[in-house]
Amino acid sequence: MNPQMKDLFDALQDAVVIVDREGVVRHANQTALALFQPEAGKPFPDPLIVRRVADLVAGIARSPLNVVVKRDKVPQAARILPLPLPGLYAIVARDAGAKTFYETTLKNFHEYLRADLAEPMQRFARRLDLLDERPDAAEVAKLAADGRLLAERLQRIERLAELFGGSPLVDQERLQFREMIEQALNDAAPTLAARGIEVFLDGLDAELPPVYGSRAWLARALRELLDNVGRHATPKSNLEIALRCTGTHVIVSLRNHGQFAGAHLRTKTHFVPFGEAAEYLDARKKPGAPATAKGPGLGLAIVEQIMQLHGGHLNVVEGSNDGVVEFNLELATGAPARDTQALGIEQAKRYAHDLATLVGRMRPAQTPATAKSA
Amino acid sequence: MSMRILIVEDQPDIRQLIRMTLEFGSHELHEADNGDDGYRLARSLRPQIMLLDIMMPGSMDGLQVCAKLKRDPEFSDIRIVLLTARGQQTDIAAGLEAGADAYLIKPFSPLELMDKIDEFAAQIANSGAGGNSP
Repeated sequence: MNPQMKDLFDALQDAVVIVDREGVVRHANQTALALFQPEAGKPFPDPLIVRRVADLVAGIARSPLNVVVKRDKVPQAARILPLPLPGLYAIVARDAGAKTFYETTLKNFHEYLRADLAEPMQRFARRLDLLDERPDAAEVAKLAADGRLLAERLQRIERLAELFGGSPLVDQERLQFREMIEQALNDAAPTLAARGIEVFLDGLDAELPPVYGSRAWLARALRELLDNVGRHATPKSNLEIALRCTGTHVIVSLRNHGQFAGAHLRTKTHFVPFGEAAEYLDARKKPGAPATAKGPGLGLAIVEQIMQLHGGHLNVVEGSNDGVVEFNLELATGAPARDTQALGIEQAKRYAHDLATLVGRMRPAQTPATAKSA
Repeated sequence: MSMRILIVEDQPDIRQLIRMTLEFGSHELHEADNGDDGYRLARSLRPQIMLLDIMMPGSMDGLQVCAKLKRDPEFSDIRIVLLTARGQQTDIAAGLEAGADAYLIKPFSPLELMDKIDEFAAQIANSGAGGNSP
């Protein structure tokens, strides 16, 4: 196969293995190599497929022949079809793993968008209609407020895309969570007050180690969590924010006192991390499930990603019967996830650079001692 | 002049490199890999010089260890060199505010480190405070 054909072959998303009449592998593209591990010059790894190729050659089966390839006990749907080149056949399979991953990601993203955007968009559209009917200052003010909310939600999508795009967000600023919590509470105060949520603080006065990371992004994580509380907590409920250190981690806990978690939280529809949406989606398909999305929105996905990119994590502890929900942000003390290897290499280069001078320095220091002992 | 030096650094490779650098002299070297152990060892060993990384795991980072030792009259004479990958002016100012005597930015120059140790050794010798006992 010439290099251009090979490039074309490898660019295919489907796994393609070209075999001869005996089922011996002639070529396999990159996807097929990853999926089936075929070896050129040897029979295709699944003997049943080799037999099915023989069936096609003998005219017992008709092309294209649907088959199931068994590799590592995982069945994989595939097709065998003759190529326009004499005596050669192609085994074509879709990489179901990648397909499922992308489908799940898109589904999750769709759910996040529904949860975050559906309501504000509808409201904004209604306001625009009303403005046509009653173009007064009060309506314009409401329209502006809704527009701002919508813009803020749209910015979340941008932020999420930025985070998942692997932007280099991890800075090494020295940060005290206490200050960031106070700032985030100031920002969230109007929303929390409007819903009558009373905040209790614990451990903010203690001398805790700093954490290292991006001030902007970690502050964003706190704001998103508080926004989440503001949106989902039961009105007139309590919220306890505790800050503590385990020695290796600084932990910020946001915990309700009985009323924060509604029934939908207890069924875990509140916190649905990427990749675990199935339970949430299944719950929504049940009869009587609410038509509008009440999922996590984009906020918690953003929080989770920020924490992961800082080498920390977000976990949720749900009480069994008391409805208590606790969100914990955990960040390791000391350096964030960092490129120690790169630093090590730089340091080694610096050491090598200085080594000759160091040895040179040692010589005059050693000479008198040597002379003395001689 | 032989110095008792405490190296507090969480990265083993960097610790090893510092040790290799300082082994050219006849210093007594001790090591810790986190802020808490560093602080505890500083109190028990009473080193004359301490090389202290800033970003370290534990309930205290390097700046906090430095500030705590410098606030204590019993240990305030320990010469503290902060070693860090953070080279911003505000970080240097924070280090000096915590009471650090010097600041080396990673990747640090072993020559610069040796010169700094020699400088402190000379200061200690001149001040007649070279006989700290653990």
